Amino acid sequence: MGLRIRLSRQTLTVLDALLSRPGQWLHGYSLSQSTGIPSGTLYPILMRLEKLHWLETRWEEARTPGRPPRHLYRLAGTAREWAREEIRAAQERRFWKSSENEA
Amino acid sequence: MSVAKQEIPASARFARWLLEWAVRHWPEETRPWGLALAAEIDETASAFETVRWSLGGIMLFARSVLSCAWAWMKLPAGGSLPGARGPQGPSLLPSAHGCLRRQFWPQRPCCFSYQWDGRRFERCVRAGKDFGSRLRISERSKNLQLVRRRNLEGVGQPVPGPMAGELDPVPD
Repeated sequence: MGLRIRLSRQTLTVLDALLSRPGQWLHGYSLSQSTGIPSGTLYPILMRLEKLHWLETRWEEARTPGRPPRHLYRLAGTAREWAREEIRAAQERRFWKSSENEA
Repeated sequence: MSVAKQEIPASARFARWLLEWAVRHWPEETRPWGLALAAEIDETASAFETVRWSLGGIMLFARSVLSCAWAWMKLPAGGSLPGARGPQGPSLLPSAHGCLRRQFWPQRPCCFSYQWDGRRFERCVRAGKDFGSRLRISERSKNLQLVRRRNLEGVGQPVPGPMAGELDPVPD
């Protein structure tokens, strides 16, 4: 069961990026590239979302020997609807704007 | 595209080494996140990106250590965090010590002021004691003289002990 929280602009950006490809597993680095959020900010957001059960995580099988396995993320099924609601509410309050809308 | 190993500049290599060191010393509670972050460093497109990614990791590491230290300080003395002494290696925060607990720090200024006052008080007491002992020595020697005089006169008895000043004064 997920919890509802007040979300920062960066968190909304991450949620938007995760919602753009719902159901697809994403890597931390690709999320950072698509949102422009540095790792030091991105990972605490992911940690918080995971703690609230908004995010599903899993470890990828190591493709190359000697390389560590990578961590994958995607929004949980129920969290997708909440995330859409939060984004809509933030846009209505003019608290946050999607990068697609800006362009 | 990954950065070829031959082309890695010293700054990027140092950044990688620093992140690896951080992962080795990462608090147990959030170590999987440290490993996840470190695993992505191979995917960075340039040396600048490597350094930036690593710095973010160091920031996250510092944050984790601080939050872990905060949780540790709230523990009762002698307690330890869950998984603090795991098989992965020694933790930075093995077990809580009374002097590092949160309740200890707000009292420090009071303790320092008390210590200062205490030291001053102690100095006064010591000076007083010295003065007193000097007095006692002079009294003792005076009393010994009196006792000797009494013995010579065959009137008084020698009184042992340092508090011989309690003797009745002998008229000259």
